[in-house]
Amino acid sequence: MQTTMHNVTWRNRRLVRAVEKIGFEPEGLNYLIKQVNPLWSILDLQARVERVVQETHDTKTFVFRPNALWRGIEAGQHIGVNVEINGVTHKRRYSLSCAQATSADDAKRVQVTVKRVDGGLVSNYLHDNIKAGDVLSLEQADGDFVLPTELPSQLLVLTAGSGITPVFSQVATLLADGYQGDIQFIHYVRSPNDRIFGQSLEGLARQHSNFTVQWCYESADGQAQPERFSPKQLASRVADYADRQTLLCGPGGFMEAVRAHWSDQSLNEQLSFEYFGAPPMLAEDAIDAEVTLAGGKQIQLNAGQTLLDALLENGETPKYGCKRGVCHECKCRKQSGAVKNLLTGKVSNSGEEDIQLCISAPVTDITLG
Amino acid sequence: MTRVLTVEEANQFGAELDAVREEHVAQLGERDAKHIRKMIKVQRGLAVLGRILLWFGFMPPLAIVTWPLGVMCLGIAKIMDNMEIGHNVMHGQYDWMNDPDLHSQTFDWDTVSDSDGWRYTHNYEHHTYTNIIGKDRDVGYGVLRVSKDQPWEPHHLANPVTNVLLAAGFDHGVGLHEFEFDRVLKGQVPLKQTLATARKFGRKVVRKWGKDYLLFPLLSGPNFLGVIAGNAAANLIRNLWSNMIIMCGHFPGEAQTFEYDEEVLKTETRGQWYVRQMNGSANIEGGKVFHIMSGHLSHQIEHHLFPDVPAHRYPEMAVKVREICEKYGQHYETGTFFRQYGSFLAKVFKYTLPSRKSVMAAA
Repeated sequence: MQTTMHNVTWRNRRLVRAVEKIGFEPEGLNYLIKQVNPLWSILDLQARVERVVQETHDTKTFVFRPNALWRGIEAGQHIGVNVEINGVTHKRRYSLSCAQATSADDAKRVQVTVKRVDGGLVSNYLHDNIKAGDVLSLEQADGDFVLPTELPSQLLVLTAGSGITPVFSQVATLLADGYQGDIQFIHYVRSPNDRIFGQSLEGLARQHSNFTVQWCYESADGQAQPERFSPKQLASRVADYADRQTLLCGPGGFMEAVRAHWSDQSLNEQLSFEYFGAPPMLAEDAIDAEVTLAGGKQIQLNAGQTLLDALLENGETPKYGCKRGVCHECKCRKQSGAVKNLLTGKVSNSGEEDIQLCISAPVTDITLG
Repeated sequence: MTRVLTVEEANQFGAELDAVREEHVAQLGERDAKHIRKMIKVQRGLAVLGRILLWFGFMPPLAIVTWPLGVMCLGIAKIMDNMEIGHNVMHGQYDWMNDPDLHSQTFDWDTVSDSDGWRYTHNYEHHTYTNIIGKDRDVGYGVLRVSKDQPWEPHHLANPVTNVLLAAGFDHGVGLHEFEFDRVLKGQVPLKQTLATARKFGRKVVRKWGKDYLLFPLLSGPNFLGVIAGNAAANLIRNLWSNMIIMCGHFPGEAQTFEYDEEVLKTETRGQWYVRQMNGSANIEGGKVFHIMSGHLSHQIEHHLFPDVPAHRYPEMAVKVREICEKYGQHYETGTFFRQYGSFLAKVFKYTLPSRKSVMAAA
């Protein structure tokens, strides 16, 4: 797990460490180098935007060419994109929308596909301001939603909305690697105009006889029947879905419905999934709590807020990043009190330990240190 | 003279200052980011230029020009690093930018003083207990006597000499300050803590000395000694300047010191805290460059009222602060650099000898 922004491989070189000991700061040298060309940075992952592709009316793909610090990807992972808006650095993680590289030249590129979110600060900024030739700061790929090492013979893919991106990356990788099993790809989307990767997927389906893609339109426009997920609806599309290994990604409500059905049928083992953002908090977890900060200051946390939400709302300025438990930038020492980890659902003990503010919801009053 | 305010008046005074603060916090944005990045750019540029000039000074006729120029550039770069950049970033003035390179908890500066320890004694102790005798260890930096309320001790006879020594070695003085020697001697500090402080201080001394007196001299080859002398001179310039500015912050003119009373502190309101900060601080008048070179500590009053607001905003905030002070009859201690430093120096000499009050108290 990556715990700091800085790439550590360079620092590990013996000579540099020795020079560092007597007062030479790599950060200082890095600063000077970045003044000349940010892509030459020896510490920060930087990338040039090679291309921007309009996928649908509200979705764009950004193709990056990262600098020498890039460590590569596994299909299904996400990368961090950092942008500065009005003086404030915002960090977001976006799922990769490209297949794992098959050639050395491919390995030099990485791409994410971003949907404009209503009122979303970063997605709108990327859409409106980022163009080919710009240089952005990235963070290395990370994430556990990767393809299993032992591949099943039959695969079902269920995606909705922009949840298609990480799974597209996985399917494209599988097919490029010559996967022989059967893949049924079901995508729930508002209308034909909202299909991300529509043409790419149709193309893959034409090339590979073992790959079928089916579109389920959720809006009634120009259609007799809007199609939303239900066990019955799914059975009408893929009769043998219960026999398949399933990959799932999409908005929270959709995923809850699918997971509930798989759980009812005791099929949990056959399902792997990925959430965007911290999973929604269940009502039973949400409590009002008093949070005491290092200086003794106390703030009030409202039911349903994470510790990070509450700190930011109260004008505090903790370090933070992805807001989804990935980057560990917001790691902070808890002196006392118990928190629930929203990613794992685990409740901590009440002693002193490090917690991630963005995915921690108090179970009791909390003292941070 | 400052008028003594009732609790209600103090709270109103505080509310008006809070409004000034809110107004500026709401404006934080690109302008502040540009300012601090520009400062860093200028500082790094001067540092590189200074090092290069010192480096090339191996040809004696050339060195007559390059050496002093190099020393000036490097000295100014160190001053900017410590004051406008380091001090202010470590106050958390730019934490809202969410930039790891400008975050108070991770920033380190070009001085021998350990940044974690400094953040505690400075941001917490000094800014909370400003000018409270016995609580704020920055009153006279534990070695000078600058107020009649400080109990006289025999070593204060050397006050003027101590002042010169402290100024010349100010970076080390600030670093050693973390040890709390007065408390160590009284056995109030656990040995383990003293050792930990010593380890951190030692590590920074080795790093900074290694860089200025070994690495860069070695890199310059034949001009080894010239670079050592240049770096030492730059450090000395930085020390004298920062010391003089900082001594003008709380001791000149009518700036007050306060008696330690736990009960009073316990019930102190935010408004009363503002009143104490206001009356315990002193400004220096000057132009834009002067303010930057002092890290805007020339606006010590505004800095103590709003320690985590980006310092380049203090001159603007000061206009309103002065109006508010006038309205509440609070003395706003300000003057030219010579007046303020002169006033401090006069106290250094005056308090060499015990004051009548402290003699009586001792008797």
